[in-house]
Amino acid sequence: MRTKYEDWMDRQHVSPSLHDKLMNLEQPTKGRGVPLRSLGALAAVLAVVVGLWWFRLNRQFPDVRSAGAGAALSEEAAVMEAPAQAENGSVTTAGTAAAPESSAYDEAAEDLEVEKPAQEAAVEEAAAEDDSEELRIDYVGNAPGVVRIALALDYPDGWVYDHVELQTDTPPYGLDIYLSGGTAQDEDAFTVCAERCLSLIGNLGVVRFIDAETGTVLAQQSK
Amino acid sequence: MSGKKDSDFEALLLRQENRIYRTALAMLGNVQDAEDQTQETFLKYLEKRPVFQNTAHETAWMLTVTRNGCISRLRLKERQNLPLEVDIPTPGPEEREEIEELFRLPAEDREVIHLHYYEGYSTEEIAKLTGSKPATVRSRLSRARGKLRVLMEVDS
Repeated sequence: MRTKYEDWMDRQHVSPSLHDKLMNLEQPTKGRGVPLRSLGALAAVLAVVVGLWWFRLNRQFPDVRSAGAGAALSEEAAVMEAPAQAENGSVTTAGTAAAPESSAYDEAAEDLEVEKPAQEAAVEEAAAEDDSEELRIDYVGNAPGVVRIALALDYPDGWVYDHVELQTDTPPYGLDIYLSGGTAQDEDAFTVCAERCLSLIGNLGVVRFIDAETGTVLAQQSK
Repeated sequence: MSGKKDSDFEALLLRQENRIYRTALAMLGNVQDAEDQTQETFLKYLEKRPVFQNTAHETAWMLTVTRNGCISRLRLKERQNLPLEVDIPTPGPEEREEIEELFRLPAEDREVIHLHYYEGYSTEEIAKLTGSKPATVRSRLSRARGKLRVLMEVDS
């Protein structure tokens, strides 16, 4: 037994001309998407290469300094020693003063060098924490705050931010983050983004990541 | 290889074209717009080439893409202050009045009516498909049943 609505809808068909058009549809040219992906892959490879080169350079640098060519570090060590020397009433230049105590200065310089990456990492971590504190908001209804957070998340697999939709009628309050440009649908890869989102927005109950083009839910997580 | 792809696409077309067209028609109320959206949906399929686990998954994907496309079109018309042009063939005067009443309802209500009464989805399934709450879906259906008694009557 069918309703009148069903009977009426049964009578609506794709016309023969539309069917022909659909049969002759061609796969869209990949020119639109491929260049971006290629550029992204190229940028990633370049970043890895530059990073490796920088890492290698840092590791090589102490060897170069200890060979005597790196006067800069010796000068730094000398500057550190300068207040003590000034108290003693003697001022020495980096070159001459470094000669008798060069091994101690070099050791100090190497220590400095070893500490530097750890310090830089700590500074970056602190900066990142500061960033989180700046982003943190109490209410999912704070639309500009929500957008800032959505823009700051590090999405996997080539996905980038498109837009957000807020679900603020009744709890649990929800946030839909629409993404574009990616292809993979790995739920686990979105876990970090979801957890960060839920921790930064006070009354957020559930977050979903959605493909902006197809509407497919890529991942969903609740508090 | 291209021969196999064509036959796969043709099989998909035969399974889904009327479903997609009818869903677009229900939401957009206009034959031309529904035809355009139907093409868009299948173009999206050709672009993404998703791999489906089963026919139900395929149908849900196609309907979701269609739904999102229809909503985009409706929002664009709203932003441009263009009226919704209802242009659907209706045979009898009794049906005509109800069909016009149907298209006075918001697109979200028409969508829910179509998915439930025609596609046979439960309220929970519709809620999942549309990202709404089940209670919202139920209230939309209840409102539609009140306004469209003749259309929703079971034919004896």
